[in-house]
Amino acid sequence: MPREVELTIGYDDQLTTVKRTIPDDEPLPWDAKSDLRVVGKPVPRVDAREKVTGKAKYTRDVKLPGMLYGVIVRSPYPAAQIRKVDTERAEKMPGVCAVYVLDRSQVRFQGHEVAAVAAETLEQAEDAARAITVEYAPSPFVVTLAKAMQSDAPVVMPGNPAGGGNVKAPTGIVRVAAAWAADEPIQQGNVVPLKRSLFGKNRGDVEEAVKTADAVVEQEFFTPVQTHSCLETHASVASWEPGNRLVVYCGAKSVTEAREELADHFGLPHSQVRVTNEFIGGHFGTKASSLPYTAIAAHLAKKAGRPVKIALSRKDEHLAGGNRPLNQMKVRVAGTRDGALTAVEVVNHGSAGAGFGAGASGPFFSIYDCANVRAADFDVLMNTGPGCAFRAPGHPQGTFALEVAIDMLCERLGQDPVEFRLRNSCGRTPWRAEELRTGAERIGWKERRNPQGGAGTGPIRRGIGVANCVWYSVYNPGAQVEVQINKDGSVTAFTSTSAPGAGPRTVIAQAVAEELGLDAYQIEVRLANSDYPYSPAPGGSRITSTVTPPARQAAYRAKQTLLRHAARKLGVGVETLVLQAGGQIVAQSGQTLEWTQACALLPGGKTAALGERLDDYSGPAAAFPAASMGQDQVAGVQFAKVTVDERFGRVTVEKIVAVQDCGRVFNPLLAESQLQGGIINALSFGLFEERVMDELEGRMLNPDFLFYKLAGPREMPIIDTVFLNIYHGQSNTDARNLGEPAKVGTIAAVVNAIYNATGAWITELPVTPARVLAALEARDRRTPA
Amino acid sequence: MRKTRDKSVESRPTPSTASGISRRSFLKGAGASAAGLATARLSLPAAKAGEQKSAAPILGPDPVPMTLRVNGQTYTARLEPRVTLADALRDHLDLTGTKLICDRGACGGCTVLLDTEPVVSCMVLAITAQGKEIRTVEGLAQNDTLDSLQEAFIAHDALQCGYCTPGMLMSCRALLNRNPKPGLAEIKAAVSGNICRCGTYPHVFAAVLAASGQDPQSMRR
Repeated sequence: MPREVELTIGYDDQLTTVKRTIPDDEPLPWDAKSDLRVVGKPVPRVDAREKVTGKAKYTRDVKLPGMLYGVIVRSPYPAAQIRKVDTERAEKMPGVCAVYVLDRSQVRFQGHEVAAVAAETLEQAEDAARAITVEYAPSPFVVTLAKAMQSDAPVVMPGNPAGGGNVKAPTGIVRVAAAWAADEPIQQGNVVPLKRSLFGKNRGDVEEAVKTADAVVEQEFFTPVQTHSCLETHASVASWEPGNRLVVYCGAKSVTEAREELADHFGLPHSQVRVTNEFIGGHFGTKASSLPYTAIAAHLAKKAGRPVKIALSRKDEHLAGGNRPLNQMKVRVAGTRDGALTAVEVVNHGSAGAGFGAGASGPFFSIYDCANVRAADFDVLMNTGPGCAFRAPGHPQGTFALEVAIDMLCERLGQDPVEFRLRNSCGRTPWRAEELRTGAERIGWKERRNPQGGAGTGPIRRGIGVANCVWYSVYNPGAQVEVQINKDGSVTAFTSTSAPGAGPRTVIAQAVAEELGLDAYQIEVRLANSDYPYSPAPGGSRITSTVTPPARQAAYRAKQTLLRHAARKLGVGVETLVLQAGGQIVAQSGQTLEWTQACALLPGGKTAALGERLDDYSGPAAAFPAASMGQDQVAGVQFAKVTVDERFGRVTVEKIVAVQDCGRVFNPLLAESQLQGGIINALSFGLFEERVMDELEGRMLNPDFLFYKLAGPREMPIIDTVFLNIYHGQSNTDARNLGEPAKVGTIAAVVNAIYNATGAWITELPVTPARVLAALEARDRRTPA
Repeated sequence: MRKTRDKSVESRPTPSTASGISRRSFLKGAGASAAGLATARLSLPAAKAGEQKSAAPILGPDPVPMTLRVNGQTYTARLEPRVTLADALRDHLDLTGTKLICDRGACGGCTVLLDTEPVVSCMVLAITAQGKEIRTVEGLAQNDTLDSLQEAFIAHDALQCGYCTPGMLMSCRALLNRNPKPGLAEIKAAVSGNICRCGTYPHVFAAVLAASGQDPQSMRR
């Protein structure tokens, strides 16, 4: 029987009560007034000990008896027909146990898989891979956006984008987007329009608004390809067990999706494939698919009759491990002198190489309340490795373009950037105003000098900038967690999601421990096994929001069973029992049972219960096959303080202030790690990272960590993080999403700060000294000294 | 090291490796005095040195016996001279705490202590690490008692996915061994060769400050 409950929601002193209808066996949802012991506390992560002792086993660390090492032979050409693959010499080489040639007649990017070999040692496998002779007939190719868009450009691949020929289809949200694109197969050359966005619809009349505006900014922005550069590269260990069962250790972030892919690939029932992993050395959006590398390992293992491990080299990871698409965004924003934003428009041509999902229009729909918005995304195909989801797909790029254009508009309108955002970006997320005010105070916005940019005389300039972040309440209804209480008092939680850095083990342990009156470290959390109850891949920052409600619900249900046995033992009504902190069961009669005494009563030595992620209590704003989106967004603002040395074009980010909401802050210690991590990844993206392609050969020039530059310890600013707890009353834990919004606004804030320091606008990333010097030169041409 | 290898066969670059000579084939070629153009040019000084000490034995490409001291234990094995210390630890001694990440000495993930010096073990041949005390992340805790640095990493959440953590810990341990109270700039310098893709650096700094008895909040000012 559904029941009605009253919940206190809101933030700070902006609290109200709402009524929600919840199922009978759903625990009373935690709200703004809940006084919690474990949840919301800075609990150090429960799997940290394995990680600091080197005992944590990642897929690359797995070594099975008799295991062979596999190496994949990849195309050195960006586009070619495969004429012949000769493996004869390789097969006779020392230690070689199996050779596999992919069913593929065409390669579409450097690094595209062609063949593979497995040998006793990695060194022997590498030697044998070099001995496989592939006869290629190279064909014309395109690796730059401008060339790919020309009408006479060689077409990378024709036809249905979602199917993608022999190109790995993107997954998750991006897959949905690609499927939508497939409904509109109006591919012209390499250009494929994406006519609908997940994040909003065109609204109002942009042209009319532009006509009546006091100022209009038109500007083009460019962001380069960023590779995920996960420290653990894609890796799998495949082995076949008796009965034609495939058992795979795989760093895929969704072991259930990987199981489906592999079962379908080999024509096996899903029940005959098991995919597991213990730890993942980062994914950031990639590792969505287990293909093709895991299937290749399984083919080799089948031929050799022994387990085979394949771990991508760093170079192969850069080439074929996924990437953030590049984007060229033409932006138009307009406003009036009284400080209203009246039009927002973007035309985005992005490229996910030989793949899809380069949209960047999300922030244009979702950040500002503006009545007139128009956006158009185009995927442009190129002969480079397929892109895939990467921490807030499209959003760091789109937000960079939008938020810098907004500051350009503020300058023309004579508006203060913080005031302008207070007025125009707080309608859908009113708490953003609180975040803007808090951040402005902490960065010292009032002391910000040169509000129009560019004042000062010395070579070292200092500036402050601001930008908004945005994300969505992504979650997966139907995700399940099982909780088992054992007679010795130990508790285990099972679910299939994987464990990269965000800390799913810890938040699940917290939710279960809170419900059972225990300590988080008393809960054993088992993840990433396709035999466990389903929960989705970490993606869309959805894990805490998706798995903590079913974890709590399962613990609540298992607790009811335990209390029934306790009531029978004590001879009292179950409704008279309370489970206290410490696990003690106390009856109104005054009788007590210790946790372990109660657990010992369980028939057969344990009880298990399954919890399920319900839909948000008020229903989703949108439901997709891969996820639902709640009605409330995630906001967030970031401020940057920079120093620019005008002699060398050198930018130093001195400080970032980030004010972020993510629903209930489940674990402030881990949340701070996530927020810092998103900021640092964004700084790395905006200041250093760039895939450099050789236009003549069509190859990547920096597929390593020497010339593909990542932000390191020396580049770290002071990062000041502030969290705003906000309660929506939408699930029993009310956790929302965090990992992605953290990355969204950072680089726009930095670029706006550079303008405040120098009066020069940066419109292309990364912000290299050369680009800064060019921007300073453009400034000086505009306003001669 | 439970495995020995058959004699390796000379490899010839095919189009699939035309973009570059791999380090393994280079090391192997150099060790075997192969006559590839790049090898000959790059190994010229070494060849001269070799002439002066003509009595020095030529090792490899076949496996040769090696003795390594790791975390106080002695391991013996037959490995090809081209095998790096990182690969020897991970693939042959099953000490997988040490991570192989970039395989080119650019990320610090495979950092171990050689005697007291932190080194990137992907750029050290196992054969040259003989006679030295090798310390890996597995050797930081004494029995079940964690090193104070490990405790501080846990308390300050100086790890997310955990893949850079072993290398970070070894760089920081080496720092604290030579300087028990490092300032923030010294900490940054000590881990400047360690890449963390999750972006855990600020918490690493805080953990090192805490482990050395300093106020981790001081870095926020």
